[in-house]
Amino acid sequence: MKHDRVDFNALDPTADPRRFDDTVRAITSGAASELVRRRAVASVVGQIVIWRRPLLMAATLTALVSGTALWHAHRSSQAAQTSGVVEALGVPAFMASWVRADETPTPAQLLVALEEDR
Amino acid sequence: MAEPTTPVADETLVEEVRRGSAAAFDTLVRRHYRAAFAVALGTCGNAMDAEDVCQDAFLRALERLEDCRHPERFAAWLLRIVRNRAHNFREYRAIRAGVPLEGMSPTSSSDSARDLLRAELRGRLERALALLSTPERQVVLLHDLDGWRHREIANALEISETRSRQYLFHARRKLRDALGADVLQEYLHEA
Repeated sequence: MKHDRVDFNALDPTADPRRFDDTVRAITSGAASELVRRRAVASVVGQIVIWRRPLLMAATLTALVSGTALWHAHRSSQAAQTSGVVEALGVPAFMASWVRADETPTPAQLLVALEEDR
Repeated sequence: MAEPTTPVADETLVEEVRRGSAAAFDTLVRRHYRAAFAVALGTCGNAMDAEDVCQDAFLRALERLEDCRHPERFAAWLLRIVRNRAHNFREYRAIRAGVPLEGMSPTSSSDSARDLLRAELRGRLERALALLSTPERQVVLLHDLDGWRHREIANALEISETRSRQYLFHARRKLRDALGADVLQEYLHEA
């Protein structure tokens, strides 16, 4: 009910526009240094935000390519290393195949193999 | 400069202030100053202290703007800061036991008849407001000085809407008892 409203116009800080401008100016000038600080932070953070997406994509692509290359290199070097060791030790081919297959030969298999080797 | 048809939302202004926009901060201050003043006056009891509290609260709010998790509810967040600062200010005043500034007008430098009348009215209103409890003062000032609705007041002051209506009812009754109908009439003409 509008007629019930108490008129506080005499207390209204915005009633005198010139005085209110002074009040606002006092607050904004007190805030100047904080606003400057925020602008400085925003300029650094802003650059990061702008470049964030392309940087992330480039990083992901690099990681994928490097990972794949490393995996291939690791596999081929492992195979080369195994065959190299086997040859260097003079292990017979059938024994090398047991080692690679991680099989334990039975005594009968061992005997047959030794006989064949002799 | 002409005002835009649709005012910029608080949420947008808060984002801009976070990036250091002085213009956005200026707009926020102008938009919410009266509400902040209403709450500060409701706690402190006099206009001069309320203005100091408002200035302090706006600067504090700027420093802590990252804590405003819901920028669309900036007003409610700001008023919480105002209440805390006003409460601290009142305690500080009580400790210092300084001479109250009531009766001193912020525009007392002007000696025009209108300003004198205004200063007198302000003094009487402040004395009448002093008879109310803090929440009654805050509710009646937000409602009648800044035109807030009960739902907004309830949200900002963390009370129920029913409680807000009760505070307003009691506040107005006490003010009428203290000021008299003729004085209220005088205010209406003054407006």
